[in-house]
Amino acid sequence: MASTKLAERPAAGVRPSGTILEIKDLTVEFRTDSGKVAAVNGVSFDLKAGEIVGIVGESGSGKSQILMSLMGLLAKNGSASGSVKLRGQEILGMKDDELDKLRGASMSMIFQDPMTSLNPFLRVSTQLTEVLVKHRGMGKGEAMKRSIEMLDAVSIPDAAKRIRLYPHEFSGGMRQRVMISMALLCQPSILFADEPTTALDVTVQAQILDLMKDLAADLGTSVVLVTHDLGVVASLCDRVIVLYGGRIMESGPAETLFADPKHPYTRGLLASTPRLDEQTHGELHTIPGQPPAVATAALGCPFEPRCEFREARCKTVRPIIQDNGERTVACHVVSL
Amino acid sequence: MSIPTLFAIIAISFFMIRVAPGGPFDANRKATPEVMANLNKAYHLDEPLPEQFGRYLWGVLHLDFGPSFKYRDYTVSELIFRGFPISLEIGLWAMLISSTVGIFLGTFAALKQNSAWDYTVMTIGMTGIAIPTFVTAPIYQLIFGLALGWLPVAGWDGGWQHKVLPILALSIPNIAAISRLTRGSMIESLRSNHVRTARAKGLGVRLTVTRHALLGGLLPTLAYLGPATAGIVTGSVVIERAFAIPGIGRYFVEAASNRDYTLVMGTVIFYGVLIIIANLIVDLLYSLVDPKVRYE
Amino acid sequence: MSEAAFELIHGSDHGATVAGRSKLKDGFGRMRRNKMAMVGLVVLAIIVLACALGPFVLPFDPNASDFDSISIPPAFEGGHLFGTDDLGRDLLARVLEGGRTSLLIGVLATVVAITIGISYGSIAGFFGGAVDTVMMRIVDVLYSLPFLFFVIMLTMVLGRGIESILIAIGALLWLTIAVIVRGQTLSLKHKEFIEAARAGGMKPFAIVRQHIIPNTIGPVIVYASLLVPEVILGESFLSYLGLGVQEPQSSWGTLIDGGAQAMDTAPWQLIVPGLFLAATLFSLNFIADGLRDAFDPKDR
Repeated sequence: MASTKLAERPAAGVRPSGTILEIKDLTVEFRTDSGKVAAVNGVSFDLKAGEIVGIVGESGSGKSQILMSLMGLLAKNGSASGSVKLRGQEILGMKDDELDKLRGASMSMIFQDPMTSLNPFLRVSTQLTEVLVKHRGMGKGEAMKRSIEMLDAVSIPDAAKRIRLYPHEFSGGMRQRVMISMALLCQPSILFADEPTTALDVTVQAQILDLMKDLAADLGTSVVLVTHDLGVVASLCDRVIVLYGGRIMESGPAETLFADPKHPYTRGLLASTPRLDEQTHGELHTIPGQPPAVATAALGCPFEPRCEFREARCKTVRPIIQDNGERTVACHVVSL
Repeated sequence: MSIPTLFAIIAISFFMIRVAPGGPFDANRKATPEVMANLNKAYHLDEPLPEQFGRYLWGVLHLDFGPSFKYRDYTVSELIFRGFPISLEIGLWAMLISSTVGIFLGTFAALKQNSAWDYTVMTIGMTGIAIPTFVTAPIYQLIFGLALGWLPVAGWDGGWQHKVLPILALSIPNIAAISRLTRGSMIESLRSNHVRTARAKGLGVRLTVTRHALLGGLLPTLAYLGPATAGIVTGSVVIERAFAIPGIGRYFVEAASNRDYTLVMGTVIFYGVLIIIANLIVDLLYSLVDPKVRYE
Repeated sequence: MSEAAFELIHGSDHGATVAGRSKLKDGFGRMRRNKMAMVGLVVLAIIVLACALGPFVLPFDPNASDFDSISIPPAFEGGHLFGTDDLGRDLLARVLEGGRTSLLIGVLATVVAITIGISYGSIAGFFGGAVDTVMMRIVDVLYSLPFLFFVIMLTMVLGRGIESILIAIGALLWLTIAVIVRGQTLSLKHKEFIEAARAGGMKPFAIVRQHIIPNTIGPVIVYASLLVPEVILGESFLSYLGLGVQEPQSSWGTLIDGGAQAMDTAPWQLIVPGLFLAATLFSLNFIADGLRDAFDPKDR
């Protein structure tokens, strides 16, 4: 891989490391016919340079909305509150035209559905080069050259020719490669990836994930990966955040968290995932009940209705977040 | 597709008129001998039906629709090409104005969705669609011609004063239809995933709308321009009557009420050709915009 | 008949299955919340009632000339609320009389169009193959020309008058319904209950009549609500051009035509029938929009 050529600037190792993104008490609410509904509730975490953080949760846990709010892409009826600092700069509530200097340049995003996320009416070349023209002020020729390099880097064969094609002439996996190259064109500090492989064939998934990981490392880009697939998280991420009902249940380094899950929800989640490296004993575990359609109201633990270890206070008192500097867990019953 | 359609239109017109009572081909009809002679010459009425139809078809291909049934000194083609430049001028202006204004208003309303601007545009749109041209045209005449005296009430001398009101009356319903359609498809386009991608790339509102949302959002509008042509053609019939404009529409209405069968057939076929051509142009434009269509 | 269609025709108080009922309740609930649709419904009801009852209530005969009161502007005195025309006939009476014609043609031609469209579309869809191709090609051809030109030619063949307008419009406005019904039929025909009927030895036409058609009626009714204003508009268009309803009969189109000719001396003769026509078209369009939003969530 042409990794050394790819980076325009010094990569992560040389760059001053430290916290790139600081999220404090992020809450995302939507106005609906039946009043305000919170999809994300008081979420806080940090992202360090070069780190890959996975956010895991079931559908409706609010995981995608975290990314949308960070990118300023919430639906019109949505609003975010709390604090999000990108390299010390508050980006929540930023005006669109200021945010546009960061989006695509300092932070970029790839989406779940590569089939529809590219503009079907424009050549891939236009869609790639416009990013460089906008953020780097490059001329057409220079932008084209750099875009072809980027397509090369995501292993699209014959990139110089293929760049002139339209999205529908690519397969799903190839389109997601195009999306990744587009997101990384400006060598952003952060890449947000919202279920980037869910819509792809299983055989392609691993390739795409590896590619993302390698490129991020080469370019010194931190990644926030949202997924419901624990396998993906385990193989890719440095740190994991487990989300339920819009709140963080547990977080910590991937290795220790998977080896020793604390929160009853995490345990249930792991127990219900089939593993290839272990002999399965009987049936897979299931968590009884349904995840909440929207984040639950202020009181108590959101997982309480489905938790097999629940106690009386779980319903009425919100668990405080236990934090030992490495891991956190929000539960009355277990302790770190 | 357009060739069989054209053939079908000619066939339907021909055989429909054949069975019309008192039509040119009606054996019991009492026509003057000279008309009869003309018709016999043109259609060879003594020949079997398929041959007559073949002859008519052959004539149509050479833009020869035979003699007018009522205006004996003229052929149908002469009448059509006398009226056509006038109808075309009004129609093209109406088309141009209604598509540009309609697209502008629709896009504007979509960008300001659910605002007072949006509601204003949509209410005007609803009004423009619901009130037919044959009501609005006389009202414009009443206001701008009679009450204010700014423009001539009716008539035609080729000057612009005589064109303003007809073009306005013809454009308004299409502006309304196009702006409603554009608004709907633009709203959908603005919500589409690739527009979200454009926003995530930090392209800014202007570039996102003009380069990424507009193209997809205007495709339904583009497709509508075919039917819109048909609407303009229909509307021109009313407009030309209301404003006493000597275009094809007026010949058509007069022919229909005079039972000038050959002229009716000729104009209907001519209109058919116009609409087919418009649809072909729209298809062509569509394929220029949508790469998926182009490569098929 | 599907529940939705059944209830649309017979009112929501009739019995329907529980599932159908809640779906319908949702639909009518949405419809009731749609203010414009409800306003449209009320306005339309008033116009229909006025046209139906007016001639019995009003003291004026729509066709009786009164040469002592020619071209009177609208006024309360004398009882000519909307004035009179050039022959001294009461304009309100004439507008209501004309409204009867316009509304009647609107409803009847729609019924004709629906009948043809459903039969045509379900047969094309059910038999498929070459039958379908040919039938739909015919539809494409008819689509390619504005239907009003064919209507005008048809009325030349059939002779002028209300009946021929009715037939001509009805005979040409079924195209969209046929396309809708065909689409529905295509999706229905491989459903289990159709297969079951076929396996049970039911004849094709019986399957179409008893199983296919009843299940397509929902969307057809939504579309029919859009057809009624189109028919009324078409009839007025023809009558305005002098090619539709003929004297002594009148419709809103003929009244508008007469009004346009008298507009410099008696503008109310144009404005009153124009307002009635516009109000009717408005209401019908809003109702149709409301129905579509309420029962066809895909389109929202």
